[in-house]
Amino acid sequence: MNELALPARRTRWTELSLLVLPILFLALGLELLSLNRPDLMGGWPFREAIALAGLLIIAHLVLLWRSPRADQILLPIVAMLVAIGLVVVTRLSPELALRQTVWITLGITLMIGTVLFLPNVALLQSYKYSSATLGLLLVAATFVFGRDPNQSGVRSWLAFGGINFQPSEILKVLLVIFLAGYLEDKRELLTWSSSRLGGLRVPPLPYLGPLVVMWALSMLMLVGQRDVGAALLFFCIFLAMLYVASARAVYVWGGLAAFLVGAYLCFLLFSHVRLRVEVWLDPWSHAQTQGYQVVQALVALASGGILGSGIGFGYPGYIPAVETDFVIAAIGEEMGLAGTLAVVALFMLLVYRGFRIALDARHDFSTLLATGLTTVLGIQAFVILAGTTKLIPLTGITLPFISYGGSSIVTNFILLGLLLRVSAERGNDNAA
Amino acid sequence: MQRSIRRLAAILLVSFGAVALGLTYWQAVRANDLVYGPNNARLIEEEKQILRGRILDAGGRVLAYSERTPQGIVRHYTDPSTALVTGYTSDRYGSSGLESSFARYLRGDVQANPLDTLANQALHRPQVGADLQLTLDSHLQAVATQAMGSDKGAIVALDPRTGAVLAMVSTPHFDPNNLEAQWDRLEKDPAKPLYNRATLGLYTPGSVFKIVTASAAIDLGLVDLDKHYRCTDDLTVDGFVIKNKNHPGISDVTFVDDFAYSCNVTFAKTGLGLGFNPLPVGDDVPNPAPWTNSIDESRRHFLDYARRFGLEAPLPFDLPTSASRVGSQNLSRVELANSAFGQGQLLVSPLQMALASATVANGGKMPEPYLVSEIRDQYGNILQRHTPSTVRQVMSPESARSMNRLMVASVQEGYAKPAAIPGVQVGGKTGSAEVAAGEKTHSWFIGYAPADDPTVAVAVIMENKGPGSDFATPAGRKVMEAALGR
Repeated sequence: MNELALPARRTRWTELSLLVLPILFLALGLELLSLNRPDLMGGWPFREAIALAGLLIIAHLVLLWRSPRADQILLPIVAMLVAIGLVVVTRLSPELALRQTVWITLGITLMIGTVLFLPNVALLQSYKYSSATLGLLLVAATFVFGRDPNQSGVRSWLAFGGINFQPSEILKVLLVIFLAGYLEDKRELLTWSSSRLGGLRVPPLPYLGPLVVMWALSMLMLVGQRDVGAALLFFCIFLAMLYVASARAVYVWGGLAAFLVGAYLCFLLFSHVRLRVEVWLDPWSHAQTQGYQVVQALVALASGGILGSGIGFGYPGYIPAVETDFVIAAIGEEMGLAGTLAVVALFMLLVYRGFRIALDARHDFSTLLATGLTTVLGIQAFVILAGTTKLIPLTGITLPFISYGGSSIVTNFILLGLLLRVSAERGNDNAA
Repeated sequence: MQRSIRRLAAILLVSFGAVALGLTYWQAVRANDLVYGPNNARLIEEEKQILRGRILDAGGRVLAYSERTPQGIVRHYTDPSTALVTGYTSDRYGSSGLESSFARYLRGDVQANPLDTLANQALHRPQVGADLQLTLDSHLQAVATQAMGSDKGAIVALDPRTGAVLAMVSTPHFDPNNLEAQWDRLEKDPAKPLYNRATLGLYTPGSVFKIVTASAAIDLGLVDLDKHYRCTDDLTVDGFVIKNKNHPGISDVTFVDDFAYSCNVTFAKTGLGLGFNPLPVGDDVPNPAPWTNSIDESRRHFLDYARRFGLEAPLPFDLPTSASRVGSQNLSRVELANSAFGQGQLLVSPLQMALASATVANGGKMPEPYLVSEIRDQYGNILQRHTPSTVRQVMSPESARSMNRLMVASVQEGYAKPAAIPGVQVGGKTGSAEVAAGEKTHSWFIGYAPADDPTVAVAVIMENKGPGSDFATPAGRKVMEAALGR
């Protein structure tokens, strides 16, 4: 479209040279693992590194061809996270690593597909209600056909021909598309016209209706399914996008108040919520029962110290769900504080680039979309990292791009594809 | 929108900053608390990865070693009769014996070069412990174990010149192999097979303690060993009667005879009379006796020599020891009289009595006992080598020579005759310690050989077995014979 009017950039050297780092990390990490623990890492360690290198080069070439102006830092950051994740998952379980490689391949393929077949991000705006409907259908399907394959007590999975899929993952993206479209439509109304209730300027309530319904529905299904992590994530995305669209802090305060009241009610009503808070405040008294996971994760982090035990030399097997929710504890044990801080820094960079893209986006819809997608990644990483380090009560959720998990990996790559597309259509021509 | 996006970005970035601080808190600030706290199973896992060092006897025979198996590292013990010396080590039940007291070396925590420890950790080399070279002689240990038979008790044999422990038997012993399966039975066993009687057991010594009383009297210069006196009367101390029953039909005796025939009356008088010169022994002690007024001086000397011989304090040793004790520090006349011939409140360990015997054998110097002569790392570097040393000069060399005369007489013509070895002069003293009414006495023997230049000193105790001459003394002879290579 308008790209043609701008001087075409035909090199993406920054991206290409930065991509060397994750490939190197993966190759050296797996080589080290095969030296340290031949029992875990048999065979040739460079297979995965070459596969990832191939995929990344294809992605790079496609971006060069179709979206040469897309952000050049995003893909290397994500590739680094994926490389760290692949090394850790291989160390934790070689069988899972093979499947994780398949998921990453599928994810990058879908990301490339997004870049190739979504010529104009603004097109998505017309599909806002479709995506909301699709989302609601997925939720409904989960209620009816929901399964709990790993006995986590959460029936949040759907099965398609032997492959389990977690709809709440793709729901995040659908929700962001819907919110971005809807909020962009109603932005002026939300911002400028306000009715008065008593002495207070309050938002125009009728326009908030669909939003509140959407929010209530997602909350209901998630609380109903006890998937607190996803509920918290959805609520935060909703609040963040509403705030950005309206520039009104009153939504945030109101939302926070609603959240606190809701949380307090849950605390009073549900014993499992009370227990969760209790375990959060003092996991040590429950070290052998409900607090086991948290305590073991903290002990793993502590035993890693500054530099870690070295890959393959720790005992992350003591932590339940270490390859998904608690993957940061395994990183902390074997790569130390150096490794965990690197992961945090990568997420900070990712979030920074994401918001940068939002700020530079050409349309308000793209801005809202990029904000929402970035918030999804940021909040999700924060919720599980902060939960593992006992800053907030623990909610089970994957660490984007690092944790083992097909739905999570695939969805996050689609999300990355969307972000890349938004950045390719930026309004001002900042060199990336 | 720009402003609120910037704010949102700021909030998220600050949140990640908080996560970074949280990680730093757990991984750096609180790391030690958590790693060494109760919830860390890694310490046990790391423990299981350590290839502990071997324990070798004096001749290099392996007594304990660790082996890598597909099921993990297994510790083997080749000679269960040394179980109470080597001890055991178990993930579940902790450790004992040398496995416990030399754990730092056996685990490899101590390296020839402290930098090696760091290098090993950095390179994740498996930790290999150092080997303990013992003074224990497996052959002698076997002889001593056989001499104990099925009786409960202990035998300690050591080289009086150096303090090197040559054999240390405590029966019943246990098999430290496959300990977990036997633990409950071993712990409940009333015979206490997990308990090292040789170093920790405390027994009434009976007449073997006369070695201490006699040494005191001789070293204080109160006794003329060649002086003859009559000794036939019983002794009554504050109404307590001590029977004169041990002399086999002789009435004209010397102090040497009274030691050889283990005369309780003479030794009660010796204890009570340690504060008086000359020593008031024999039937012609004036009436009222000198100790009637005050035993302060006698008591002081008695306690002084008991301490010089090592009582009232744990012995310096490679294994934990129980402190032998006199009992009350303010002994009454009756208590002092009884203690002087080894009854009263006295409690002594077999190691203590072996050292008392070794002191006499070593010219009055008490050698410091030891089991571990050398510690070598896996490359053969010597980490520690024991230099024999002396605990203290208990009595003068002249007094020790006099004591030797007493001990030799005891074997040549006294109750310790069963300790005699043809062609070798042996010193010894028997004991039949009365423990409780209706129970057999503890059978004791202490001795050394050859008397002119001793190379082995022993202490034998068999619990509730009977007279010392009949049981412990022949057992002691067997051990000394084996030690002398006969």
